[in-house]
Amino acid sequence: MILKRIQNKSFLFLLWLIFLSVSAWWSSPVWCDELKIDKINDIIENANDIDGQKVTIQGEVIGDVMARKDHVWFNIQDESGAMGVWATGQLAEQILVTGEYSYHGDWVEVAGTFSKADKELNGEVCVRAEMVDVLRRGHLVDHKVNSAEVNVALILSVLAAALLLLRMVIERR
Amino acid sequence: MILRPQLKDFKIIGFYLGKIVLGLAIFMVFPLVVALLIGEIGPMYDFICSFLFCIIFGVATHIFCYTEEEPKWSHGMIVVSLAWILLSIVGALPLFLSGHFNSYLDATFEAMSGFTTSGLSLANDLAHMSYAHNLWRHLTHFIGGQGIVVVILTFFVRGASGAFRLYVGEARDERVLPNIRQTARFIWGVSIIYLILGTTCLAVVGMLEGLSVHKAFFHGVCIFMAAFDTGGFLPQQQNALYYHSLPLEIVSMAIMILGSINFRLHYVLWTGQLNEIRRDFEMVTFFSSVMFLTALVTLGLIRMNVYSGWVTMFRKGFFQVVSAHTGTGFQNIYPVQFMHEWGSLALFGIIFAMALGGCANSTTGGIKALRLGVVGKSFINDVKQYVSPESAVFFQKIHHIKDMILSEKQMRAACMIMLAYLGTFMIGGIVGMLCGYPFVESFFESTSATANVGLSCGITSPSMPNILKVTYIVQMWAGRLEFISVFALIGFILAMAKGR
Repeated sequence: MILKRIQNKSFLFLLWLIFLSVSAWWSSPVWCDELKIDKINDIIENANDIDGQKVTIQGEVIGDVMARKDHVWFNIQDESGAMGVWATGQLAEQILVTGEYSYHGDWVEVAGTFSKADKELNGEVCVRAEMVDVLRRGHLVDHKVNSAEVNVALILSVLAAALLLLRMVIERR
Repeated sequence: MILRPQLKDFKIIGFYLGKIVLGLAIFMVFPLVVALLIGEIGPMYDFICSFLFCIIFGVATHIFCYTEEEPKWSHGMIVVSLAWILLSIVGALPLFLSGHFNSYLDATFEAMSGFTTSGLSLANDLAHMSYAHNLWRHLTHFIGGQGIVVVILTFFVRGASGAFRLYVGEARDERVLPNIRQTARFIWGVSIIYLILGTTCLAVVGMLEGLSVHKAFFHGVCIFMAAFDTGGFLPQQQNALYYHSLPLEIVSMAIMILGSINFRLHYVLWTGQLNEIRRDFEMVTFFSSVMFLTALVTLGLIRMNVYSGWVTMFRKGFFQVVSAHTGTGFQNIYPVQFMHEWGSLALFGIIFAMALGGCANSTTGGIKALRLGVVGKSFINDVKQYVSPESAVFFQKIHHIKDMILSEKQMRAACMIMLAYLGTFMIGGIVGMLCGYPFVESFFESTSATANVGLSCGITSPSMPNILKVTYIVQMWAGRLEFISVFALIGFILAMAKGR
């Protein structure tokens, strides 16, 4: 009887172990393929795994190229996210157009070492660039005025003027 | 017996709502002029249309709802609660026209987040947004933070008692000066002086850190409005990460703390009584809480071995605690880093800091340091009462601008608001989980929305479910108004349905 119970317990224990093993196997990262870094967001999502490793990213230079002594900071963005790049002034010299409302910035490829908290740079999340290559030159963006919006503005201004007039008439009475 | 609202009640509400929308129109002139000056013609038309819409709404309500009756308490509460919804819908108009939002709901979310000084954002591609639209995003922080109703009080409301009712409805129950209009003018006067000083300081630091002159001033004014009004928007998608600048983060922290201080205390400090900072019960509670939570977050980060070196630890840990505690929501780490790197203890510290918020009668959201202190004191009072003879009577004295004895009513009110916040954190968390997000992430984002903080762990994005967007809009709104006006609005709706 006791033996049977132990056997039962062992059986249950064995089942529990199998369950745990299957669960661990199921959730194991072994399933994952090798980390594929195509987009900037891939780096951010896998920051722990690729910290200190060489990466190559592409993106549009946005905002400002901020000079700090002999180095510069600039930010690049693709459709998934944006990332700061720390580069020598010499490497960044070729960047001429940066993205903002009126411009599409230079599209660059940056190769360098990714750091999730660079100690020498006071904990910056960044790529220390070893190579910056402009793949496509940025350009001016021609923002066309929406003619429908101009018409709406005209109609609204007439309506607003009419209402103001009505208010003046009512107040005079 | 509940009385059904009459036509005159609707007229009073409509009349004041119209004035508030007219007030919004005045603010739209700023980005409109900027767009005109720098030649952003498309954005200029966005603001012309929005401005005219506000004028039409304001004038129409003035004609059709004209009344000389002053608003009663209930009217004040309902006007304020409806005004914040209306402002978000109308304020979203130029944002939607900018083309940087997937839907009008997203633009309304952004406007509500701006006005309530939350800082959660659904904007796409901020890097290419026009200066005028970006200025408008930040201006919503300034308008909401100083209180749009305060603007109306300053310019449009004649009667002082009606003005006070609107003022209180906006979760500001302490007068800085005896006259409510003087109070409103003081708030705006001080804010504009700080705006000039803060912007100049930030612009100088920005230039030293490599920004061009005009961009340094533009970023300076945006950072100031977001930091002083404890908002959280910044002109770029990367938020504070964009600048890669420790000095800029230090200046921002000082402005965030300045913005989270009670306006009454600002007044006292302006009159030269600087030692009030050390004596004020609310400030002591606030700074104690910041210190405790910084220690907790630092311990959590050390335990997880996330950062090496004290400078990095201070820069990330302390900055995020100040950003969370003041309800600002600036981020110098990526949202996913909270979840992937920070560990449970540091995350708990940040969530707790977000929930607590800054000082009462400031631009911060959350439970507020004063209430936390009052609840703590009332707890100590109760414990003393239990262990002492029945006949013993205890009073809790605090120094908040002046010496005062805590009344039972004050303690009960603090507990009630605290419970309302906790309940709202929970509801948002549950909706997040129903939408398929994990427990911690759901509660993080829910707390951030309700306490008008704006820190995100990655849930808030244009692709999140619409139901969650609506939930966060409601949470930001209710949290900003500290629930009382919301309850008044619910009561009004019930009275419309069931009253006699």
